Amino acid sequence: MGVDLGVGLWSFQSTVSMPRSLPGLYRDFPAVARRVEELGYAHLWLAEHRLWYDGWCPAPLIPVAAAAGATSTLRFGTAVLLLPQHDPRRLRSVAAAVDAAARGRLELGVGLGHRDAEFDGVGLARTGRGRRMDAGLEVLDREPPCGRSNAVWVGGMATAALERIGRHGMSALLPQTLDAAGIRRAVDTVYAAARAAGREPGRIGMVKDVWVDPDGDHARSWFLPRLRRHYVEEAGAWWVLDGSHGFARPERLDKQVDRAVRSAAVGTPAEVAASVAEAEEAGVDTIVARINFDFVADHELDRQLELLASTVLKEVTA
Amino acid sequence: MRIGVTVPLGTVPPAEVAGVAAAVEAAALDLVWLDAADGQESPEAALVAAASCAEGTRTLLVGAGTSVTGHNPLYLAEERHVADQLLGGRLVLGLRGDDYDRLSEWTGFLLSAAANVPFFHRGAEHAVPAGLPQHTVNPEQRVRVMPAPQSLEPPLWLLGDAATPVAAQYALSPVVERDGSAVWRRVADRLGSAARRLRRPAFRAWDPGREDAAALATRLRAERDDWGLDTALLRLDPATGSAAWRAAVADLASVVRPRLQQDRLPAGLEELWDAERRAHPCPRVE
Repeated sequence: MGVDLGVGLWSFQSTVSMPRSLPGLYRDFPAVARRVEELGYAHLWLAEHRLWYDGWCPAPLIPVAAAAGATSTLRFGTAVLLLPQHDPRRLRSVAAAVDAAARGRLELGVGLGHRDAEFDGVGLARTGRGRRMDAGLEVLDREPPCGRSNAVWVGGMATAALERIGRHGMSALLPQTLDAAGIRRAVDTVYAAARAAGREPGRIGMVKDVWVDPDGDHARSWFLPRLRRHYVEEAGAWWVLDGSHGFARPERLDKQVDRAVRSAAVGTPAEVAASVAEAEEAGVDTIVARINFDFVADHELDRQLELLASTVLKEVTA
Repeated sequence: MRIGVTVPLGTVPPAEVAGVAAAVEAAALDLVWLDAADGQESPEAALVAAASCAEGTRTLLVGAGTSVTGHNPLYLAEERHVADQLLGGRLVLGLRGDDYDRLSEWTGFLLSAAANVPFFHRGAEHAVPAGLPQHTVNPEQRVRVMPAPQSLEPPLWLLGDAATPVAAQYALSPVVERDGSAVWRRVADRLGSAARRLRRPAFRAWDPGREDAAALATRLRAERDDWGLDTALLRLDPATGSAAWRAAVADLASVVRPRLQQDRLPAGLEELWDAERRAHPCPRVE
């Protein structure tokens, strides 16, 4: 069987941790995508946020159109686009144009979004995001922008969200915090809802923070503190915890960040491959190895792409 | 004079747009205009098509013909900035609008969004940020659209019935679709000497089966000398990408543009070029 392994998440950020040239990040993206394809990965994923100091790309479908011409087999995914922040008909139109430009290689991942300022920027209330998500998925189900329902991936772990994914015959993007038992429950929920609706169930994917090094201790000592710092900034500034942002709730922030960092797959190639295999055994068929963070320099990213491809990718797709 | 070629997006498969743009660049022309504002394609398709040209071209200016829609203009601003980054600052955004108030609001919004500092927008149709009372966690009074365009002053050209008055309002270029003299009299009346900083583009049709390339040059030169046409966006009659289209593109670069670059040419030079054309018609574009 094997699992489809791709890499993510391209967000085109220039943060305090590592200031970057945004024109350079965008200019180099098609070449990076070509390199990812040459190394044998199945897909490359991008993410959306808007109106933030670091320049996080608010329109990740546009770089996909640019990279499509530099590649021929690599699939491009979004993990995720913030569907409730869009008019779903407009988003569908953009996605369909990108899928056509990429000759059918788009995987459209969507999620809720959580930051008040983003919703306010587009004139929509965050409190209505659940209803807007439902309505958006209806639009994407009626007219799948990539021609097939299972090319729409939906983030979520709540029972209602998983049932909705199954009902639409869409693919699931599970959070990395789920353990094997949680994955099995989620898969059962999606499959049962699909069967009840008479739909073919979609695929089961997971975005997982990953770092490999032949010296597993070095992987952990280098990567985990940086990953923690990354989530402290993101969760502290953005995540809504008990009605406020993370920095205003330091205890909750610590717990949330601990949880995110604990669920990363970090270590030797054998250790990471075992973590991927465990997810696969529980029912995941698609893994997005998140190795591209704001704190990872170009040369480190390239080395990680190569190492991951020559070890974990080989093993899990064998 | 800059010479560009228009591509109606509804007539070219999306995956082949980049190849068309690469052919225009290989012919050494200046600009490709990807037009989604002709009603055949949704306006959003233009910036997707423009971005798809990032990998296959290096120097070509890439125009994206969009239009005012019922959506929030923030999406268009964001997609514009990202596409300009991918193109290394080579994007020319076209915005079509027939209603003065709506085109004016969208134009004002796009200018604010590209200015690279926090701003707020309060218009008849849109408020950004909206300031909704439900948003209580770090609400913003002003926002900055990130990323910024790569270009310091990204070109925004206006089209449609409302283009001329809105262009005059904001000191932008209208893309002339009919009589350039009337349009630029109005813009120059409003702007005075500030109008001199603006490009003067126009759409013009050309059917090489009916009009020789040298005659087209004469036609464009007359407009250049009359009202200042400096960027001709040519709607070619042969189907985009066909052999006849490639020959027309080559003629634009080798026959038309050389005849437009100077006020006059020394006697005998055009005759030399014409003799060479008769001996070697239809230069090939690879």
